[in-house]
Amino acid sequence: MAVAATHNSRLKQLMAELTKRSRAATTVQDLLQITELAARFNAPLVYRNRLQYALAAVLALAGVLLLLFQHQYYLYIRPSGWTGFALLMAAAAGLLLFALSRNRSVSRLSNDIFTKNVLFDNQIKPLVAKDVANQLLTAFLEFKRGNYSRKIEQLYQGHSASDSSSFSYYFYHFHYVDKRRETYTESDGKGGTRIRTRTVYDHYHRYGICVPQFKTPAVLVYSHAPDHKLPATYRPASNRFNNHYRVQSTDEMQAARLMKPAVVVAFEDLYPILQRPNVELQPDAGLCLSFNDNNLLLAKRQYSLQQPELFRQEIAAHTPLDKLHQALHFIHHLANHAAISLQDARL
Amino acid sequence: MTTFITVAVIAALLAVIIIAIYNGIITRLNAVERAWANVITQERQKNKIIPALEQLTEKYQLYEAGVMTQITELRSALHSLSADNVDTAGLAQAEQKTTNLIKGLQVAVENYPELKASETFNNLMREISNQQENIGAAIRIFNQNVEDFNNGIETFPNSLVNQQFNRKQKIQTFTDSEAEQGFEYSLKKQ
Repeated sequence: MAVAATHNSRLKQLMAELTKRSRAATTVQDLLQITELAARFNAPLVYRNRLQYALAAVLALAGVLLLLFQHQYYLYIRPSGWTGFALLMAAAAGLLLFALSRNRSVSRLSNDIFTKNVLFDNQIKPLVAKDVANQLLTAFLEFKRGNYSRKIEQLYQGHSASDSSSFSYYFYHFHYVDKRRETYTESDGKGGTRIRTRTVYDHYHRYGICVPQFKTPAVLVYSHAPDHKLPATYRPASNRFNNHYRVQSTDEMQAARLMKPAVVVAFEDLYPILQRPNVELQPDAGLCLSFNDNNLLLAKRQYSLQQPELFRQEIAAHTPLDKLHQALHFIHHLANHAAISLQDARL
Repeated sequence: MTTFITVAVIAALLAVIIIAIYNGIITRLNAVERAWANVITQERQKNKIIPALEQLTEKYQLYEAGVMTQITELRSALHSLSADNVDTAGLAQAEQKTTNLIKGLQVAVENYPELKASETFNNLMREISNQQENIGAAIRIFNQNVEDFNNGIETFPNSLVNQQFNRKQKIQTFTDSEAEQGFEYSLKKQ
């Protein structure tokens, strides 16, 4: 037991140190050092929970014995017996949860380290900037959704370069809520029913990439209709495009100029990759590519701190975000073909 | 009376279905014609760069490379294209002339190093490449619409309606590997 206590104490100290370093990490090198520190622990990163499991078993057994004793002694179980039983079972469950949870903390920390690594590998930084979020919320029709609330939950900043264009971008997670009243029927307790009303809040999440450097006329290409629209409509020649998208603009000619065949076909190819994609171009705000997919900044982790050497190799290797790159590639293509001028300034 | 109403309802329903199919075929045919007109519009964009190419040919005296002849042939091929009639053979010819001209320019560049350094030439080549990409995309859209139209007249019961009322013929898609290669963009390649 003493050996387990020492192991657990050392592991707790290590986890605290690794968590602190993970939070402070600013480069892949910092993350590699964390995995090296985990490797030097020379024991599996698993808490030894035998004591907790034994105590939980004893407490559960004591609860059952208490009930049996009361049943034998009083021939029925008194309320105090039930209370004691509930308290003992709750204590046993608490101990089990504690034991399981602290072992999951290693996996949670591995997730945090891997997520940071993916962002570093793809030159993306989390951004806390209320002014930028507010600016985006007012600039694009995409954000005029939700009659109850609308908020940019997360904001990231990145830079993308191709042979022909380069731009800085914001990646966002937008959460909006629609409030509505609905009626439902319920039993009135006398064999009949009565109609009641209640307020329902529908939560929705959209994600997207905004590129402020785009200087272009207002055009909206959407597969997920926004609440607010533009006055003029335009239909390109492609049946496939028209099956998925609608085009609106302040002026039909501007939309026609943007929707060259190479752009139309790029939109067709984007549709199976992103869910419900919209592209909005605004003269003062730039471009906003929005969609329902929540996995553009996610990659699959294979190893964890439990296998420090393999995890170190995984961190050291470049982890591409394929879907994000496809979305950025689409934006580069749009910039090249739609006669959109890009002001190449970093955010 | 009930029988009469049932027959009338079925007949009305049948008429609505036939009208819907008939209109669907016409809509698909119009989409093919519009996509074709789009291809021709993109092809004719080449007319805008031909004067600049002629000036370049004169400036660098590219006569022996045959560039001037190729420009004349391309202009003539573009002139014969019509937005009103789907003429894939004419389109193939225009694309062939464009390929010849691009090859001619590439040969000329090898023989005239100063041409390679010319900004005007590089801008023109970029513009040609951009145009070819749009033509390739317009051809893809045309072929997709043709496929929709052909499916629209060949599948049952549309084939019956087409046979009796529309009487439209199947349209051939445009197959030109070089023109299609002009459109290199693909998200799936990533």
